[in-house]
Amino acid sequence: MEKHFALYLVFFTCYAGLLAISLTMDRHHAQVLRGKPERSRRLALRLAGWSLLGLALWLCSLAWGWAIGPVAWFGLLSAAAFGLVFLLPYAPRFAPWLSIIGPLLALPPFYF
Amino acid sequence: MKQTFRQSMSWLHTWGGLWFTWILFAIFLTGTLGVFDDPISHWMREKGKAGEVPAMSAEERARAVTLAQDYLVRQAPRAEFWSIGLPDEDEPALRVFWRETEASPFQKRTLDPASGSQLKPGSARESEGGHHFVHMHFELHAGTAGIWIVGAATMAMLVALLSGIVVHKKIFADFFTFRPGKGQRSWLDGHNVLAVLTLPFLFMITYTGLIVFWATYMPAGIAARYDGDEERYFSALTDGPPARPRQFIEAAVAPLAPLMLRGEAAIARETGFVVVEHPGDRSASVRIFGRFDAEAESDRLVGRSSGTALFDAISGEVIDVQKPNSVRGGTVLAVQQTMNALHFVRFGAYPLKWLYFLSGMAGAAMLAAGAILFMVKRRKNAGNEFGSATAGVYRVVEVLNVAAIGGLVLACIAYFWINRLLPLDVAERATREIELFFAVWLATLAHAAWRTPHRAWCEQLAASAFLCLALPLLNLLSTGDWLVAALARGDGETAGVELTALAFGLLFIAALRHLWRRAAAADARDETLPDATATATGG
Repeated sequence: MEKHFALYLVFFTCYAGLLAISLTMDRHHAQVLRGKPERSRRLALRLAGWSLLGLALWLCSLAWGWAIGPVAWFGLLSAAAFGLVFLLPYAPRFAPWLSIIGPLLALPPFYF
Repeated sequence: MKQTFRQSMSWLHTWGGLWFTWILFAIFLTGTLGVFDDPISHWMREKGKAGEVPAMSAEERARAVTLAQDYLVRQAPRAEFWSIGLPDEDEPALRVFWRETEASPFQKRTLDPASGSQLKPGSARESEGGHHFVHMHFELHAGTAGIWIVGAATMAMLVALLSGIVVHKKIFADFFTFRPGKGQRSWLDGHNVLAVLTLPFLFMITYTGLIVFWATYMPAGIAARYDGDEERYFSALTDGPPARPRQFIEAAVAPLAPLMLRGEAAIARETGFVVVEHPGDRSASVRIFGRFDAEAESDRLVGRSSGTALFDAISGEVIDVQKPNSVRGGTVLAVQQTMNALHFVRFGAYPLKWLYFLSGMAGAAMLAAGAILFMVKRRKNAGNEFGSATAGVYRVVEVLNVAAIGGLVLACIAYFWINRLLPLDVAERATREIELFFAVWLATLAHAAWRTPHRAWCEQLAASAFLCLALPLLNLLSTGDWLVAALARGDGETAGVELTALAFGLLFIAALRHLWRRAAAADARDETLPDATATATGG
């Protein structure tokens, strides 16, 4: 995988994963979607969140191999988490949209 | 009063953190800038304008090495070492380095590769460039003493990280929590979030930072097992040829050019550096270093050899040849090299460097938020921690906060301005630049001591913002080159430095606006509630 493309792709995969995990918490669920998450939704979000983080690690290994991949994964995880942490108080409604818009914005420079 | 474990950790985190935070901020900030030492040097030495340097033929390299040898024989016939850097795409000049004895200073000259004459001062923008930040980072420009101070601070950092985890009660519940606009609460949230989200990086960079200098910090093993002979130890560790101690018999070094050409044939790569150890002595040896291939190394965590050939400098006999891309030494060396590579981010090229830059800046911001939090807490609720000296100690902490955080930021960006404004023909120009960097830093300390904290923060931030935002303009006025021209010719290093400066300038403007708004809000509050403030200060 092309390294710069991997950078975007993994960043937004991490972002979506962390967003899902943050939504399992009452405080952030209330910020973004209002109300408390139900038990089933909480479980689904948790499963989705951790799966996305696992997927991100695997994507990193494809781009950088298993020696450098995990280093890149930790770095991108931190970067994505900063994005999320600062969006939550300032633009909570936009936070879920970024996980959709972000990858779409990243695709054109590489594929069109 | 008996304290709980968490309370004693909290004490340790607060005070251990406070007394080391200023120096740690300097280590983090300069180390993070040091990630991009090459692009910074590229900008400072105006390499972007120079264009492509044509590759040298074998005859031209041989001629350059002969000229360098002639020069070194004249300057220092007997020395600890000579080192000759051949021109490459970043540096069109021939560079010679030497040191006469272990105690004497390191000498550096730049020569014309075609004539061997010393380049006149002022013919190039002589500068330490980004290397200044790296030296600041690991030794504070203070040699071995600096390495020990940085080591002590690094240990304090590890202690603060561990005690910080213990103190942080809601590490998981507050994992994603930042509540802006709430004063002390926001500073604590910021400090926590910045640290927690980069925790793997912080542990890795702090621990590997200590490990890099393990031979300095923990010399007992080498002292006991190898009688303190580091050279003997390292040649055993790296599976290299035995060390060659001085024999105190005078002997002249054989012509280097034929040795270099034999070395190039042996390793099948062009020469980057030629190093002669103990020139003038019978023990002298010549090492030919193959040119470093950054592209080939970027996919690997542990770097491979660029190829070296070692000769007896008197007889010309081959002592050792290591082919490019080979790995020597056992597991211990591999572990050591992995730790170093992780610290120096020698792998992964720009994507990984940017992630290190981001994480490092987050670490620096975390330290700054911690130091500021200490004072925000006490400004609101002044304690009596130092008896009658409390107010004085708080004032010292305030002043040091401004100078160590705001002041260092200002000095770092001022270093770029010094580089462009200092006349080219000044003697020892590179050293003068660094001295002026320290002078600016000292001036920010005086300024912080003179002004009230709020004014000092605002003015130093405003100065940093101005210097950052006007950097491309300064470059245009002083050298005729700038951001737009660099972007047009695809020079990412020059453009990257200026774009990053612009981004920091905008960040400082945002911080400044925030400070002004809070000050305005505080003034409004004081006017409407004069009684409340009077009671607060009175009680």
